Amino acid sequence: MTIPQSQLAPWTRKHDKPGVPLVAQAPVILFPQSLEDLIQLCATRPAGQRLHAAGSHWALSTAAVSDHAFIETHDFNEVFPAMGRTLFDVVPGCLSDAFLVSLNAPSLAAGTPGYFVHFESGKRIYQLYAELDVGDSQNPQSLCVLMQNRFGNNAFTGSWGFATLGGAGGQTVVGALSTGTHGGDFDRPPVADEVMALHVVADGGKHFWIERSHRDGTPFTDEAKLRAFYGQARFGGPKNFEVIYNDAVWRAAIMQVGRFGVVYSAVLRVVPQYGLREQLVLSDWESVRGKIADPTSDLFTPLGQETPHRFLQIAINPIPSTNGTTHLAGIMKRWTLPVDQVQLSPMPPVGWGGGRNVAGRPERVGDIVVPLDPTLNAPRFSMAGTGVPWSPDDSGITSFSLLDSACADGNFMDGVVSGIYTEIENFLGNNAVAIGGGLAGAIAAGLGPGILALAPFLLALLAFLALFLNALRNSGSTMGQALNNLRNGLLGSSDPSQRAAGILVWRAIAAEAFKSQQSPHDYNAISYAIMDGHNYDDISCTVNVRSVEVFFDAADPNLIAFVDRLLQFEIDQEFQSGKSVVGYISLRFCQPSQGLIAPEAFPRTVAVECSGLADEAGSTEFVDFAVALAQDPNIKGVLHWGQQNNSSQAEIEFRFGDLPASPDGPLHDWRAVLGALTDNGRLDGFSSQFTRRAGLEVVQPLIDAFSVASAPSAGNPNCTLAWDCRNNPAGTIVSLEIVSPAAGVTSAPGLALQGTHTFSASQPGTYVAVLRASLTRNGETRHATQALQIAGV
Amino acid sequence: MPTTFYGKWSLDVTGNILEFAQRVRIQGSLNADGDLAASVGAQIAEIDGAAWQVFLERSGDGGATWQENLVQRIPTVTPQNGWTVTLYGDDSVVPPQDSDVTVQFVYLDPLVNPHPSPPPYNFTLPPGSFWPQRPPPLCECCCKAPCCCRPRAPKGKRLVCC
Repeated sequence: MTIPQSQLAPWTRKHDKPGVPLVAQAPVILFPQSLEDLIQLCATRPAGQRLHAAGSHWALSTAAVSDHAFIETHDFNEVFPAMGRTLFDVVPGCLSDAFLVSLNAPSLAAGTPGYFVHFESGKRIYQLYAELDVGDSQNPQSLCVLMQNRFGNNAFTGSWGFATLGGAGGQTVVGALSTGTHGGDFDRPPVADEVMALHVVADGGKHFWIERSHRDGTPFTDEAKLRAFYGQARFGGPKNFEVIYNDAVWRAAIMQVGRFGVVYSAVLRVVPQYGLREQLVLSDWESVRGKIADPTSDLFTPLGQETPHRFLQIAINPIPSTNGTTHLAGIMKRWTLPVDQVQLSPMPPVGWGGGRNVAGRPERVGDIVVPLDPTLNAPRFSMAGTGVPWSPDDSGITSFSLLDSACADGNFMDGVVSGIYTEIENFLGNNAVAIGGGLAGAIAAGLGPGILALAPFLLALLAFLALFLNALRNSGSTMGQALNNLRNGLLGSSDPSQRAAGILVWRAIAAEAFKSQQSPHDYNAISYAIMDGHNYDDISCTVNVRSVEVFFDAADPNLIAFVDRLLQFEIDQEFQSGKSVVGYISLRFCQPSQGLIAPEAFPRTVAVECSGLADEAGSTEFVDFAVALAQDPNIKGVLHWGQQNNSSQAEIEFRFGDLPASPDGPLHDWRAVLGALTDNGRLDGFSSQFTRRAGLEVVQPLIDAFSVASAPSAGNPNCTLAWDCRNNPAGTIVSLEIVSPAAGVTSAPGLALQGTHTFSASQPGTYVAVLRASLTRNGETRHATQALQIAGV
Repeated sequence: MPTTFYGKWSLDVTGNILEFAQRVRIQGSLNADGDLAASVGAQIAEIDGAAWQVFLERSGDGGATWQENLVQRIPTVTPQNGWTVTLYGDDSVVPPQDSDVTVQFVYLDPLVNPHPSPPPYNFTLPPGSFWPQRPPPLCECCCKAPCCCRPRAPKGKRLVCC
């Protein structure tokens, strides 16, 4: 079986700078098509050549980078077919009878009725939400039809949707959940927690079906059926497949950052399709920050008889207003709506049915144009993964990601800068500013000369703005490059007064840009159209993005100080170096994940995302400062695995436990699972520079066996000891120390991982032999020891 | 419970209502271990160490014995000092502002707390210089206001008025 591959080709991530691949010449990029392919790749990996799975290439983290070979589950260039199938062998083929019975008669305690979908790891989020929306009623292989045929139950014939999502649909589902991707639904955990099962192929080719334990007595799958199916010879036979029903393993596997192996497939619990109402109001950070720690504040709790909302995002303009004392903030809330209350779309209805022609469905999923697209290995929908974000006026401005929505409107910067130009002209004419305008927002009421002293410098800037607008209309530069030119013209002067005037104008422009992207609205649409706010038409605007996401407990006062310190940094860099960020700070909230190393680790987790366009001087500095601040032990922010994350092993252990002095905590449990799946780290094919730096590795060596192979006797005082420490990471060092009855010590350092050692036990009394396995990673050394007592002769 | 600090900080006692004798005890630092009488104005210019602890303690018997205060740790950011942590100590649970003793720490790591500089200009205008906004101009594409003509998505060129 030949697996397509390319050699020495560039490998890059979606948000990297165009033309500058992250890996200029990847040794091997592999394009497997099936479970058999993955097993073969992992079983036949040449020694020393490591693997790493890649999906959509959306990660901003070096966690996505392989030491050597990339296993592409969804070809970035869409040349080779994706592993994007929806699967039916397990759901419904291997579901347990008890589970099917319970699904047929759900108890009230079970909560919202759910449905279950099993899919390969190369399937993108937008592909799955489109397929879920169509539903399974026309698919004779499906769980839906099985429930109809076996029980006469028609409850599963409708549309389905993700219980929650991040802010975009371009990632693979498995990639998103493996790195802890989340949305702003503060009433539920991230999407990883909806995983029912994962199918992982580990280094060596062995594959594992991983589910939670069956404490409630209703197993999801039937183990015998699973073994019968995945134990087939084409998958390596019954000994090459293991079924694990274990909470700790499941909690480790749902967020494993690619370290355990390559995920072949996942089973996800989904919910009946629903709508979302989204409301955005404009406020300022200084007015809302005091409410965040209080779960009963109106940020989280409805006022009066209002329906409780589920989602909260606070998007902050890092460039200040009101003479540097306030920062605009868009407060976004969402409510769940029954589908029959969602407004109708003005577009023609989709051809596949789906009931009411609800807003967002024709625009964000569309028609099935190819029932089984060979590149996707799934149906191709006309609008899934295309176009601008849904909005009632088709503008594509949904205010979820500021960079995305700004890029959706080509006239965006032109309009904003032109407006400020007019405001400056008016100010110079009458020494007054219009309330509600950009200039008025940037300044505060106060005595003294204030900005009147800057009038000559503002006049000089009018000429620059006119030139900038002309260039903007005639250039093909990225948005980041255009804004960098604007910033440089406004803030680049070494004359303090000229720079101050430029900062004033820059702030006015920033405020107007932010307000236009965060304009108040209140509308509704089908769930995915609201949740997926990505602009798929943008191929040049939001490129070269720097982004970090830092997680805190919402009640942690460090959270507010973290944001305030970032905002102070921006003020300082404007005045001190003439730089400024083009980006945003956004706070989104969710419940804790059960993933052992999930950054969503707090009862009320808040994720602070700091993003900027790297083409613009000041954005990289801003994001790097956010990283440094988060990593500081006094602040103790937790970084997202899928965004900029250069955490060291010590920093990860400080946050997730398993420090040498206290080997416990969630990271300890996670490492134990890694050890169980990889022969305690001996199989290191999915180790990478990232995982070694961050300590996502086995750190504790083991001694599998240490025994007396040949005991001394009256006629022969020689004693032979045997040991086996092969199941350890590379770099493990074995040593032996023998203490004689007379307290003489014999040391044998640097032994092989497996071997024997013979010594003469010729003194009467007891010899003590101590075998030690030692492993040093990132300066931390841990040991395993075993001792034997041998009677001398 | 002691409060742990990491790295280099300054210390400044900023409040003491003199209900008890109060002291600050530092442990685990490289250069400042020991007790400091917590009188207002008492300072330590620099305390350094990988990880060091601060205890706020009171004495009701003239210093013969010392008890740990209940401590609230509140980080803030000030335009003067940047990242600042204030410890509020009291013998019972009270709002921070009612605490018996207040000790302020300023983070001295220039990488994560570069010293802020006050803005050299005030972007202000006298209150009378803020005028009501003029009515927006009528839109070219639809002769209405407000105007924000945009191309219709996804790739259409037709302008629409919002």
